[in-house]
Amino acid sequence: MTDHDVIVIGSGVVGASCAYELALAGRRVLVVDRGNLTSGTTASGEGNVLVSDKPPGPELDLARASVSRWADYAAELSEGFEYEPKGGVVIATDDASRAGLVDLVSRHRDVGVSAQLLDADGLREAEPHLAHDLDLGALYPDDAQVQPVLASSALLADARRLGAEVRSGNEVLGFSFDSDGRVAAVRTTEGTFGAGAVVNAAGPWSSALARLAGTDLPVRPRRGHLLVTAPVGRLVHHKVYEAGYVDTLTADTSEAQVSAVVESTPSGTILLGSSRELVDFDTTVDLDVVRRIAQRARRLFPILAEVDLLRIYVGFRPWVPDHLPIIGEDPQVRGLWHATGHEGAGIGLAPATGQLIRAGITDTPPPVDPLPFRVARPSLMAAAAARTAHG
Amino acid sequence: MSDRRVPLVVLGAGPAGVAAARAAVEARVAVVLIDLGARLGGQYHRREPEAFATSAPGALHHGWARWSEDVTHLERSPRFTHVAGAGVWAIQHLADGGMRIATDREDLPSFETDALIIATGANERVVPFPGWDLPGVLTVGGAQALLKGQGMRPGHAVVISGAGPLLLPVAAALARVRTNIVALTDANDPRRWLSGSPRGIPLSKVREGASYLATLARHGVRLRPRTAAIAAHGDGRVEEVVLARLERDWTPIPGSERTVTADALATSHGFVPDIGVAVGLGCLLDAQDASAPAVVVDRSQATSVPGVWAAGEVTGIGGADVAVHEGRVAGLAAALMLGGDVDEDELERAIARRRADAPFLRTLAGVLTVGDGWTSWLTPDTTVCRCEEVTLATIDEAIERRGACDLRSVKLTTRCGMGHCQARICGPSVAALLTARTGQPPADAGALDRRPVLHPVPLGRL
Amino acid sequence: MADSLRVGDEDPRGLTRGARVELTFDEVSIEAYAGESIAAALLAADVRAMRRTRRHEAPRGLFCGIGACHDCLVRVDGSAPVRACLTPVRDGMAVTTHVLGEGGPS
Repeated sequence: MTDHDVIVIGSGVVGASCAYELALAGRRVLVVDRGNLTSGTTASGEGNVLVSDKPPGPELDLARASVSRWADYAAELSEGFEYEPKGGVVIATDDASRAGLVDLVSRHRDVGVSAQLLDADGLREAEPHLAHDLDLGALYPDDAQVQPVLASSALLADARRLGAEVRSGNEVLGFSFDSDGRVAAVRTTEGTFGAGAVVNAAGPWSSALARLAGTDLPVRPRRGHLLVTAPVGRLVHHKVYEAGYVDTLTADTSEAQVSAVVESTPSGTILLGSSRELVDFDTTVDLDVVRRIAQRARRLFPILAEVDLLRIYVGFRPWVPDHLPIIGEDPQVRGLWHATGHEGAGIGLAPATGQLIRAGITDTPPPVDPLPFRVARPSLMAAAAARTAHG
Repeated sequence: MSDRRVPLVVLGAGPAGVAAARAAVEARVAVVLIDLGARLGGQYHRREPEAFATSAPGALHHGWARWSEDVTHLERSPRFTHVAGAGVWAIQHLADGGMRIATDREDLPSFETDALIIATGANERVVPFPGWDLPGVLTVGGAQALLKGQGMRPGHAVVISGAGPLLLPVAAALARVRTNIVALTDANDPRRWLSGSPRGIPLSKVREGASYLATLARHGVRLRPRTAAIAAHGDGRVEEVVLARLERDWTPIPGSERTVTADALATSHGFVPDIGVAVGLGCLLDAQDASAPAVVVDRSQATSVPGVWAAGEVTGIGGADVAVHEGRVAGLAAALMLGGDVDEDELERAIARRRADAPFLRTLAGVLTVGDGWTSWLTPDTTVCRCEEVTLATIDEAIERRGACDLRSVKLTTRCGMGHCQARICGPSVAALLTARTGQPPADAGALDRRPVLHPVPLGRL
Repeated sequence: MADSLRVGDEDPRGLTRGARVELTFDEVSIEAYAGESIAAALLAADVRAMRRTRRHEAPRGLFCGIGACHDCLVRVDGSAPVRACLTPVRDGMAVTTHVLGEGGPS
């Protein structure tokens, strides 16, 4: 009953990249999604492909591998996805973030990441509409942007051309195992599909999926709001965000953390983020959070006051306690691979994640050291132990 | 940001909203009615600007006497507050069961309320055709707004073409003010119900329709049934309109095309409920027609969300009389919940009056159809989404090459519905095209009506 | 003007317009009446194209007439774009064609 070599669960950008990379390696892939294609986290993201927000360490390594793979995708995929290698500009908006930014730039340069401090004139040249009192920033030429849904659908389209099958509206109900306890099939609302390996790319829903397979993942939804303006043209030339953004990434509270991320898109709209709050799967738009995001964004670009707000997206990032993606085979359930926990960096980190999964399943050399991302790592074990103690 | 807490908010100043507000204030409940328009009336009773003077303001309006009585009562009530010129851009559920309503008025930014009546009416449905994005093509409702609101004709030589209940009254009103109507065509055959044959059409409606035809005949305008404008041409503006006779399902009959010279084309093909507020609040929808989902209500006009009622076109297209009946029920039911002075017999009588409309509504639903054949008059480069300039070819490509199979994925891969109108214009067409291409209605009907930002609002006004 | 789009005595409501005002559209002078919308004033002056689209720079004008479609966006005195169908004329206002997606607010 091995209809497929690999079943990928989740058609967001991480699942799509896994499917494409595995299909490239000649594997017969089935992608299933319980909802519409690419309708979860990926559909409410900004499309960040960033190195600038990651301090030196394993996540930065994964990001750098991904940045280069995104450039490959832009050249080789049949469909476009608004890939823009336009660079990022990080702004210090208060005294506290100035020292941190100078330090981060220096550490980035030490490991070979292109980064350059900008003074008031440099900022003005990079972003003419920035508030005039801002006088310290950093330019990261390797930061890029993609349109997330187009990127996912382009990956899925080429995976299909390579023989993959994609089924939406197909919910996973459970798993079947062989006599050795290895995953052998996935039971879904549209029937049972056999496969030698299963990839859990269900993003914030991946812990619920893991439970169906009898294992445990410490992934929780971290809610975010994203604002989109009417088309106004290129008011913003880079991905621009305030340095405080990097701190909100690791401030794990249920109260909303807000910091400004502002960028134009090829469609002429401007995206305004971001907020982070651990409040479960609550899709309610919080108008206070929306106002705070708008205020932070206007602090950077006062001109935005006159621009119309057109859309708000509420989405859920797959959060993990140690802020590092989980990529690798489950130590308890052989044949079940996890590709999740990317939090807000899933778009940026998807290509190298797909490559890591491909390398693991096909037993070929990985693009980066997979060890820091393994499921059974000490920092996750510690969090799990703490949870058990509290529970 | 100071929020005013009020017991009841009514959204919409058309026949349903005004009837609801009147019923509630008469039950001694304070009402805040919020609407984008400067004066009460909505689209149906759109008024001329305050700077204009009129000696007989009701002369172009059907049912003016009842309307002005409602308005007089309402405006006299100390419990009534009219928030005019206010675009509601967001509504949020509050933890205490209430709702917060954010408007784009700088002086009155937001309201909190315990109860809400949604009377947001309908948007016109316009099916696309080559050239429908040329200046000079406007909606039938747009032509009506010009006439009622501005005392203006849409052009010097006007084609009126489409379907639906707005076509005849607008054509008759335009004829009455001596507009040069080059052609008047209906894609369906309105003679079917004008003859009074379908059961359930009240005699008053038949008479109303006949009076429009008589007015048109007096001015030498003949209605061509089963005919449609299938293309408009011109250099930067409409100069010619191509008319064709249609099969019953709206497929153009080859060889029947005829080109007329015109500088304006007023066109629309019915209405779709404006359900954005209801979708945002989580109200249950009836999406049997994926192109025109409506809000589900019970006998007292209550939606599936506690504290939220809906009345008028937003619950299904029925016209102004039905809207008034529904508005009264909703106003009384909301007032009852809020502890107002409501006699339950009075509410039951209002419900019975509304229930008597049922046969008419069933017949109407059978008359106000949009034939599937319109998709055959599109060409690959016909614009479907006007705001984002998305063509039929782009939508087909998304369906065929990217596997888009629902409204949301078509939107996110083509930008259909992402522009300024927020899918109000193209949404029904995208749903119909998707149904035609995939052989089944999209699983996520109503998805294009999910608008966390109900109307564009400057970021400086948040 | 006999073939004016403004309805005269034929209007059964007995309509009297507001005071005469003057505005400009792309620097050409236009006469209008207080209370009229910019869109109506432009239409009466035989102006049909009010903005140009972002992708193809195609001309667009009044379409829905009630503020829903935003096809009639124009700029007034260099402002952010406004809907011509909803915005009343004012004496001396300078209306200009809006090119969507260019320049943003001035």
